[in-house]
Amino acid sequence: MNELSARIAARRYGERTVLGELRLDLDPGKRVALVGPSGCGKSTLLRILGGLDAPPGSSVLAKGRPLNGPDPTRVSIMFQEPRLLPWLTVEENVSLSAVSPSRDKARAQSLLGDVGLAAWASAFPRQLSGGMAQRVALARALFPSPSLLLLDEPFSAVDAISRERLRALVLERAAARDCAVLLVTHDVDEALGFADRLLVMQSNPGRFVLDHQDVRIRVAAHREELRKEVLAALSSDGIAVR
Amino acid sequence: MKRTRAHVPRARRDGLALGWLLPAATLLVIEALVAGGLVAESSLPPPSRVVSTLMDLAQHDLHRHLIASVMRVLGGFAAGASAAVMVGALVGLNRTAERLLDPTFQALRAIPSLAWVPLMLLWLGIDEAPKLALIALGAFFPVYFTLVSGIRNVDRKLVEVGVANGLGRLGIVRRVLLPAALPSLFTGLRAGLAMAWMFLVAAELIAATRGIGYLLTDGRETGRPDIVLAAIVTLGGLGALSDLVLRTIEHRTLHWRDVYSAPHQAGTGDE
Repeated sequence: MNELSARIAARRYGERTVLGELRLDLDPGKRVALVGPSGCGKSTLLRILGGLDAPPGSSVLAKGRPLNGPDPTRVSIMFQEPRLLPWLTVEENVSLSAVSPSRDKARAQSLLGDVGLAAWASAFPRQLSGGMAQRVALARALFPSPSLLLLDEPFSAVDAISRERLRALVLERAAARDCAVLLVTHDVDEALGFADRLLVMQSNPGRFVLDHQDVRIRVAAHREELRKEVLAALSSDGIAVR
Repeated sequence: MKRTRAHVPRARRDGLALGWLLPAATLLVIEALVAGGLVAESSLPPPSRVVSTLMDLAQHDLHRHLIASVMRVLGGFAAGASAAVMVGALVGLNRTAERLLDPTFQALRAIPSLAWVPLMLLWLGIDEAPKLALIALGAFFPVYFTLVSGIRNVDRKLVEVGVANGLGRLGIVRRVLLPAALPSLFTGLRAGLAMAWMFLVAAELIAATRGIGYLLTDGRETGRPDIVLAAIVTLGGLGALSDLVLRTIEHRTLHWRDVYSAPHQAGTGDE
């Protein structure tokens, strides 16, 4: 069974078609990177997969059941910014999705330990650095034990050193939980370093132009060629890409 | 990581000292002018006289007036502010309630609130009821408007975090919208409290036998500017004290806020 199986109808905002008709199936436990230029609809796609948006006529099945609205126990999202609620402690932020936060205290604390912030449980978000806040956001996304973690460029707003550590941490934590990961990014090298499978999107309307299932093997053998192929696919309509 | 008060001092102390300079100099000049016979004591009593009048009042029936005024402000403010919190939360959270109620309140806001005074007297007589109603009315509007706009201006991204984490409508209200609107609410409460004091004076000037506002009228009618000034000083003190109480509660409640605390700008009173 697919981890996630989406049939997405076109998404229009006014006159503009942001996203064309798409099909996407994701395998359990795999890491997928989705690369595309700014404005190609990749964030819109991510929101649809996470149940935050639902174009009429679309269907998203997660673990075989339809996803009607967000269900973090199946699909959890980590945003570009940490988006911690400033009036809650770090621990309360982590257990935001808990039905009874008091019962899940131990779980929140162990997740904070996993991201190296056990000592910060009772701190407030204003006391954290950007990288630390994003680690709390990771713990929050993992808290409901999702089987798919959606990442909307969560590494782009932190400094280079924290970025490497955060990325490694995401991969390690997701692997430890057998959680599939879909990373949205506009950075080709980040995608190549991250993914088992690589999807490239193009804009007007947003659509897949490349889908490599065997990225690990290709990267090991011909990284530079693969990189060029992805860049060519990205720039096919003249949009400059990093 | 923890911001303490300990390292504020020096610049702040200097600022505070600087802030006292103008009022202290003014008082000294007045004192000297009156003592030198340049200004008649009957029109401008010197500060020393005002202080001795205040002491004298304190030994007699100042407490009676104080209690009357404070009770009125507390009662009226509590009624007005809690009504505003209920209606404001309803309007802020519910579009139908907003369409139904908000235009009316926006229209009422255009009326200077003191214009209600004669109507209140006509309707409610001259006892405590119209005074409380007036003070409540004065406190209502600032609290209502800041709460509604506070809820309306909550960061969409934070609401989305709540939704993405599976919070239901009630959960979003309780865990995201209301806490996010708290800073605005406190701003409104403080403005509402200031209005409550203003309306207290208006109410007591018109018809009262007790209260600080009554002292103002009494001083005027008996030709005692020192009593008027003593009442003004008392009102100022009470207003500042009540604001300090509210600010302390605000500070404790909103300790999570990541706010800019202006360095070297002492005396603004906001921290």
